[in-house]
Amino acid sequence: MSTPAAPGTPAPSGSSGDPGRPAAPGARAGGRRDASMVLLTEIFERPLDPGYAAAAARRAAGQGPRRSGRLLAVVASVAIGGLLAVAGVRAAAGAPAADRGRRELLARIDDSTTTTDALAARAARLRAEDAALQARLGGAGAAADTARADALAVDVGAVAVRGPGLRVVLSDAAQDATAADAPAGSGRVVDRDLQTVVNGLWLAGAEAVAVNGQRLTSLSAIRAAGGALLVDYRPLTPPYALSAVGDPVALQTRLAAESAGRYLRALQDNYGIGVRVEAVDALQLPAASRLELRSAVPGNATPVPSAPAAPPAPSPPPSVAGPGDG
Amino acid sequence: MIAAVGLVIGILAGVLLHPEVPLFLQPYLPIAVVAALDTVFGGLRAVLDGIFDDKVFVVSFLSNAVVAALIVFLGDQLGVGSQLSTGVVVVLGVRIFSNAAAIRRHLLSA
Repeated sequence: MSTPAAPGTPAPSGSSGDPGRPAAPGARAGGRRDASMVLLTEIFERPLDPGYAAAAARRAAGQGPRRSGRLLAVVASVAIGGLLAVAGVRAAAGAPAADRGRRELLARIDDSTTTTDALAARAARLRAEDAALQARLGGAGAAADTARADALAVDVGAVAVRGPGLRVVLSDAAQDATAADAPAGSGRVVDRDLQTVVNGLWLAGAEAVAVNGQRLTSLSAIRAAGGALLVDYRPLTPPYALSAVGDPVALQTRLAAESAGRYLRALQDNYGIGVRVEAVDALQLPAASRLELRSAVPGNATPVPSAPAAPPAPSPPPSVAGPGDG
Repeated sequence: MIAAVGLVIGILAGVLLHPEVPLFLQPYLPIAVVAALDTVFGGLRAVLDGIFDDKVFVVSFLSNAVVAALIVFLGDQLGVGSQLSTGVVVVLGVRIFSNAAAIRRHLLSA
């Protein structure tokens, strides 16, 4: 620590702490006790840039302001003004940005509310319309239609039925039971036999007929193809069970009285075909598998009054196909 | 007085022209505004004190802006940008208040 010795002062012998020496820095620190806060005091006590005072002093010394300085001041002023304006504009634009989002949300809520209201009104309108239509549907006419449709469904075989009835089982003759002079194969049940018996059952008052579990409708066909019997083009396997729902006693009596009964007896006697007729308390007949009409369409809309008084359908005989006849 | 005219022109230009602030300058905008306000109030007080000087005005504005921006930039690099910004705002804010008080004394004698 080689402190520069003050001129004219004898250098101390190696020691630095010379109390008698007037050390300049130490004296300054003693003058200002808050030297450590000189920055703060500077700020608080001299807020004005000291340059102004210095410039004023220079001016007082005789130097006038320069033109270039004035121009610069204008430029700086413009810059400051622009700065303030930009900041202000930005600050003003910031708030609306947040506000804009809120307004947009509000508008969307309004839109949604309007849409909801419209939809609710439409729903109410449709509900009223629905109720009106339902009332029309549920009127007396509708009930009559439904009842008629239900009745017809049973008639045409659209639904499964059950009830007491008659079962006629035809089985091929045993080989040796056939009359000796009869041609070979004459002991077999053929389509004509089935057609005759089915027609006989209809005639006897059957309300629903099925052959081997195949419900017969007015369009059903009983045919032979080769050696097989087909109902609605589905092959049957012997024995052939014809089920007819109806009053068992009446069915049996009428069947025996009409030509079909004689036909059955002839089959039994002449060809050895097994014929078994029995009354059944509870027959189960399925619905017909096919009910479509290919050509016929409903006529004009005037509903034909249903004819419940019609006699228990001596229905049109199942269409008889020619070529297969054996 | 010519500085006041320039200030008005600058404000008008900023409002009307609507200049876009570049993204990399946006963090410095608040500090620059405070520095500019400090300069304006300092200049105004100097005018009222009768010691206004164009050159000092220009230099104080430029140096204020540059130093404030430098401090913020440095603070951002060091991760203490917000604290340094606060410091700059405090210091300049104190000066602004002091100058405003002096101006008030000049104008209202109170």
